[in-house]
Amino acid sequence: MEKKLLKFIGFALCYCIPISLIAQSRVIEGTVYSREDISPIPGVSVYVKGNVTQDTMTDLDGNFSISANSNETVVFSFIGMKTQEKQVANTAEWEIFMDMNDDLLQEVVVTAFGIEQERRSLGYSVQEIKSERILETQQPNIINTLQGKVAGVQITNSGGAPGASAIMMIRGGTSLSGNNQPLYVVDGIPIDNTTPVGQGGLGAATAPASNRAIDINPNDIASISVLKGPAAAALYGLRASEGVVVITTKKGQAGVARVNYGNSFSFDKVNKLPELQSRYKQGEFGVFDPEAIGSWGPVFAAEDIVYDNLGSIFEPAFSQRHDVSVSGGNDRSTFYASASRLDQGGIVPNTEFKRNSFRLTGDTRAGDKLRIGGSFNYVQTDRNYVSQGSANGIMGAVYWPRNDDMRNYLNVDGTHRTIGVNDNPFWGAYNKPNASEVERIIGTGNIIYDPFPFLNITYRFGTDYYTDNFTGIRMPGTTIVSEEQGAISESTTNNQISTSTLLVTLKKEVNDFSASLTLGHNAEDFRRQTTTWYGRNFIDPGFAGINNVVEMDRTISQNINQRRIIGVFGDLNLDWKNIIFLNIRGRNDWSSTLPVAARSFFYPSVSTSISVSDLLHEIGWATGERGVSFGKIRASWARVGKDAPPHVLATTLATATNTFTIAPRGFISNANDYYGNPSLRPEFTNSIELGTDVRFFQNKLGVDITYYKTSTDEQILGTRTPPSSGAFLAYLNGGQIDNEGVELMINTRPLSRGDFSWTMDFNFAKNVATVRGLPGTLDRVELSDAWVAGNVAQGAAFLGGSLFGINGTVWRKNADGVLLLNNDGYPQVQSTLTNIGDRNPDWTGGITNTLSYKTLSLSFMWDIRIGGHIYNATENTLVRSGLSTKTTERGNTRVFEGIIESTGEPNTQAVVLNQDYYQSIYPFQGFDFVEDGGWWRLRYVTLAYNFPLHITERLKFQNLQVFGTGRNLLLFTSYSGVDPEVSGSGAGVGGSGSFGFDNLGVPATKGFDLGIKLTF
Amino acid sequence: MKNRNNIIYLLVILLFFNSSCENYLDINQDPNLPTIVPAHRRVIGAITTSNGAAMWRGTREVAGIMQYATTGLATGANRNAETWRFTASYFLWQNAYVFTMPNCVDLIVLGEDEGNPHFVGAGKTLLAMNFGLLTDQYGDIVLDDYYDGRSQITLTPSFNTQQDVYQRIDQLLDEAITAFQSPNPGPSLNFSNGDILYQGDIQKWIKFAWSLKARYLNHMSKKTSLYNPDAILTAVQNGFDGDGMDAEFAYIQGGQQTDENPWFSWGGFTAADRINHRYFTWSQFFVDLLKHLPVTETQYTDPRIGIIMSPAESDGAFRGLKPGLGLAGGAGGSGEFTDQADYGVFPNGGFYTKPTSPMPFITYSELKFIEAEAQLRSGNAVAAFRAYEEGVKANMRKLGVEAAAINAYWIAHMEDGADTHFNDLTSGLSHIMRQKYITQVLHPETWVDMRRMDYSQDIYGPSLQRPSNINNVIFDINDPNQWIRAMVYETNEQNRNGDQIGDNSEQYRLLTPLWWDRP
Repeated sequence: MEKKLLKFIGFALCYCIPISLIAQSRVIEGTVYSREDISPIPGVSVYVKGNVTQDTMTDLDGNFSISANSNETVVFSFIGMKTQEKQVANTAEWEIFMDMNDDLLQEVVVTAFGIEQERRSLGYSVQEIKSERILETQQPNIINTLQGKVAGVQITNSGGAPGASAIMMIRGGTSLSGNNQPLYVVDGIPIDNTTPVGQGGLGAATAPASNRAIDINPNDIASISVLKGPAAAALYGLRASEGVVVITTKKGQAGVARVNYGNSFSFDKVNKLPELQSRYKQGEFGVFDPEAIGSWGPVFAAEDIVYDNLGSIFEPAFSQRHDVSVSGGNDRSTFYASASRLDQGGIVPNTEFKRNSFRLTGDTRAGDKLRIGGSFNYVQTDRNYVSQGSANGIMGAVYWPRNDDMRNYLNVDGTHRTIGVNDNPFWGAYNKPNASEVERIIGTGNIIYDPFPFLNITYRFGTDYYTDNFTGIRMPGTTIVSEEQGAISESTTNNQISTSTLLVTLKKEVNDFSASLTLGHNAEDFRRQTTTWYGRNFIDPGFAGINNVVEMDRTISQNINQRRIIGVFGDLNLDWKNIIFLNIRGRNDWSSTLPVAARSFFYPSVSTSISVSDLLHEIGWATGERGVSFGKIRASWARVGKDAPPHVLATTLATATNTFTIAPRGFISNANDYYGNPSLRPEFTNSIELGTDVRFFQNKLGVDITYYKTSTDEQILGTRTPPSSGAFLAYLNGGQIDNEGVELMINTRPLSRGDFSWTMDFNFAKNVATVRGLPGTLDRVELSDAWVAGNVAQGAAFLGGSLFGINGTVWRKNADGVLLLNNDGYPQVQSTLTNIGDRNPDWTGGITNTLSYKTLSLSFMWDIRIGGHIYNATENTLVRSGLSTKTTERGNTRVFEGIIESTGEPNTQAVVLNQDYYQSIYPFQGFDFVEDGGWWRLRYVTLAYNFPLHITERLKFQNLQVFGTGRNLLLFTSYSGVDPEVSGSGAGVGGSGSFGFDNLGVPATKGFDLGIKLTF
Repeated sequence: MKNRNNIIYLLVILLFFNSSCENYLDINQDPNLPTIVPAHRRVIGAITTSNGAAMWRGTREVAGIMQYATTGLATGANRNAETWRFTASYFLWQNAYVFTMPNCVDLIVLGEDEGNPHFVGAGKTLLAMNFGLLTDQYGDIVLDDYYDGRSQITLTPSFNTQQDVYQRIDQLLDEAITAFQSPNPGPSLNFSNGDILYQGDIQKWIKFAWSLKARYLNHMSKKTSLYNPDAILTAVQNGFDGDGMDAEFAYIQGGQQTDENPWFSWGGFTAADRINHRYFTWSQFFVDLLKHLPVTETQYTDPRIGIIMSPAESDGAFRGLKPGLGLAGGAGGSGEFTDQADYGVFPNGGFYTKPTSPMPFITYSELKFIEAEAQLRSGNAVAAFRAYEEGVKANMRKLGVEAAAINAYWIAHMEDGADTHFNDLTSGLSHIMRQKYITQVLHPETWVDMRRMDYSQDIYGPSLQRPSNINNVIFDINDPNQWIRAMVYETNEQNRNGDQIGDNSEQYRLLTPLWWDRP
């Protein structure tokens, strides 16, 4: 879209600017291409450095001709591209490859509703990432393509399973219990990025689902803009309160139809595993016992084999991806069509992720004033994954004694061979499969009408519909209590978001002032219906299906969620000489989820941008360029409203209660659900943002600094209430969260000489999310969805502390911090949980380097996360099983420093650190399992080579590129467990989320990709 | 000009979009579950939860305190109750406040809104009873700030004194009686077969309410300034006046597990090995009460013993364990009989622990013992004894004791001088309380009586002793007269409403007598 516009501008300039050519000694002829797709660029400004009279432009085929002396330098400049210089030498025919200027300083970015705005006019921070930078990461999940690239955006992939969900949080989080992830918008249409918290009745930690933005084919994307703050997001309305990810897809280009083909072949393996002890074998209290699951037996003899059971469950994974796209059109109509197939293997047996995507985009002009366009995207996503999150899952090897070969998962008679009360992980991988099959259609249509030069009317309609069929199977033979005869959990979800948007834009210019006003209307309809059924006790043990259980053993339930939002808004832009910009916005929303009296709410925003360098120049205070080539300051104040979740205004009635009371035989108050609140009010987030953008040395160095502060108060909060209120859970307005942070982006071109260029982009961000207030006398908001194995730690937001805390158990101590020991001299666990860690990183950053020489380019990115705790539940489980290296001290005695609680006397008794201590005392405190989860990682390194034209022409290609990418090749961390990029229950957990919980999930991978890109 | 018209035209379209939006947005009613149903559909849930949520959870552990039943294991969580190791993890609180009482309040509100006072009466009767259950275990409780079914819930409810609560209970019951006596123009209480207590017989509901009034007035026995035997006797006269009107309903066999009586199965009695059951068998104290006559301790085996208990598999004898010692402690802590087969099984072992056994809220027999106590305290020994006799016999009739056995028992009783014992307050109370204990098997009301009697051996006999392995962190192991007096407020209340709750230490809560338990 953008490049097309640029080309159009270039085309226009070709005819508008008088071309003057003065004959000189040497005529240089050549063609200017875009390096990205080797297409010619018309309208490129070509001039001789220091000689303004010598300038020309490329024609429609990208050709130019210019006269210059042999010692002069020719400059190629084009909006949105990096300026290039070339010394005049003997070569008569030049091929110039221009790079997209995808750094921080580019001129045009996409903001709300696909509107392209000049970066200099924006009063807030927006970062845009181009296709090339997205694709070079080789990540199938578009969220992960942004890792480390955008300041203030924290992305955590939840593990190494193919199709694992990824969490994106922009500038921390504002919600204690609700969604903290941004809105995803494709070509102006919001799309669904739900991650179900558990499917088919299975817990989120057991079968964590994908986030549905994973259905988007990264190859279809032209650019992604991240609108970080409420000021940037305000026009998208209440769903944009956590920021917006604006995705613009590729569009057709006029000219001869062009066919692109690309592929990649990938190889992955597990990145990092915890170290297990190899000293003690299976048994109890030092005595070998082949029935025991714990490794509390005798020391391995020298001749014993020590099996790497944990390592054995992981295998190398192979993936392949094929993309075909065709684009073309004439001066009235264009089209773009693509097909993509991804076949991603997993590092665990029986896991894979497959995505087939087809996309068609078309755009046509009807007369001079009307344009009609549309797109259609069909995606089919199949995912096979296995149970995780406990010793009964794939990481059950944390329990498996190392004198036994876990790979022997079948007995001689073909039955399940296991030890103790958990399933053999190998048996589980083949006999406890989970599968999710998604079919999705995203369709859009738009009409753009320009009746007068000053008036534009745009109407856009879009719908995003998918069906997700989930199946989770436990075949007969499993050790899961009550499912020994087999069980099946299934669900079908239908999810649809339909959006209608009407925009009317008026423009007016008077002398040095220009103004534009957009009035808009927006309606959104969301509906999600999930039907879940469960059956157990298979009649025929060999067949998994709901019809294979008797009716008494089946249960079924249904859940429907519906939400509708209507909004009207105005967006007024004023500027003076393109130097001082002022933007005023206001929006009123009506939401179905709020009480009728409170369903309408208005929120405004104001932002300004002043180009200081131009201003000084304009008023004659500064002349010439000197060191500073551009300087701008910006400021914004914004407010954005948010509605309630659907259907929470009234308390529901139920016909069942918990399992510790009586079957009620009729309707009772639904104590297991939130108490309805008919007087909820919308919540608001207020934000201020200040920033500056300064460029030095002819734009070779750019520095962009942003400071922001947001405050969300009177939140719509789902919280726990004292039982004497009549409910456990209630929705209410209360609580305040402040986020404060700074973002720094530095963009440099340390070297740009001839055919060689080197750019380096840094981004750093620090965000502190503080809970300033909680309703009532609550001192924390706990997240039961983020419980981890052993129930010794969970996610929680603490009053006066972090939104991303860890609520866990500690040793019992007196007010002076001295251990209170029991009569035997062992420490005791305090009965109440306390704040034992903060998962929020101190700061995050990324460093991207791009080096290119002619058509060879090398990009690599360091992804940095400093600080932030991880709760290592995997290690906690290892302690219980006796495989943790922490248990090798077993048998030693220790005198715990503390006092005996019952007597108050200082402790002098030595106690044995035996199996009892490691199984029933030590792992019940969580504090010792909190570790620093920071990292420095080489997220990717990509080497790409475009074959020179003389070769590709001989092969009848327009372009041929080969590339190789390495992912996660280097990881520096002090974390003792798996790769610290973990999220115990996936991206679906609201509030403070489940990132930072290492809970027996499939660990992250590292690998490499090889592939080619062809253009016919 | 034309341009301006176009703009106005567009604005009109925009307005049109929004004027039709009100209906478009009316989709927030929960599509998954109803939020309101008629009052007659809420009656059954208010009754079942009052019984199987509130009352059950108010007696599940208290049965150990009252020494009806004992655990078999000498370790583990089950034994904590009978050795008084109570913490903030005792959960009557939430089961009454969240799982039960909102249903009573909703019944009142729906009855008022529908203009059908009988539902108001039923709701108020059950609500009063649940407040009584709560306050008798915790003392001060949340009353004024509790859920009222109309306004928003209160986030940090304040507590009312127990005296306030008792006034409110009496007031609620008075209001209930008035409501029952009002015409009820709409559907009857049993319109959708929800009145599983009385099948819509409002006269019985009125008697139920009066009986509860008598129970709670009678709790004032230590409060000389408030104790009013005449008021109790008035209430008794208006209360149950015969067999077959006890406030109870049968549990269901063959449905879900939670349809069954919890003492039979899901309340902790499904373990394959009976030693792991929540309660293994009955206590030796209870066996002794059934084998001896009050005051004289003359041996006479109560004909109800084989109905309430099942005999030992080994020899057919009835024997029990001492609380806190488990099976290893042997019969009555003697160290003898340490085999499982030496003891009758608890679940499905008798009248009160079958899958369909009701758990009565209040019975005619209890009311007669209340009357006997009030008459005795008024100095009317003869009237007291008459009520006492009816209380004993009513319970025997209910349990299906044959008339001949009842007569034989009563003759032995008289020969032992029972009627003459009523000339002495302590001896009379001993008769009343021991027989009431036998009538009120597993009923939390017995704990109130034991505290009112200060766990006196003069009342309950020499067999009543503190448990072995008592919670020595809180209780003085050398003071045999120090008994458990109340419960600790629940951890969820403490964490979420800590400013209102006061001193919730186990030390304070378990040892401090409630308001009515102090002179």
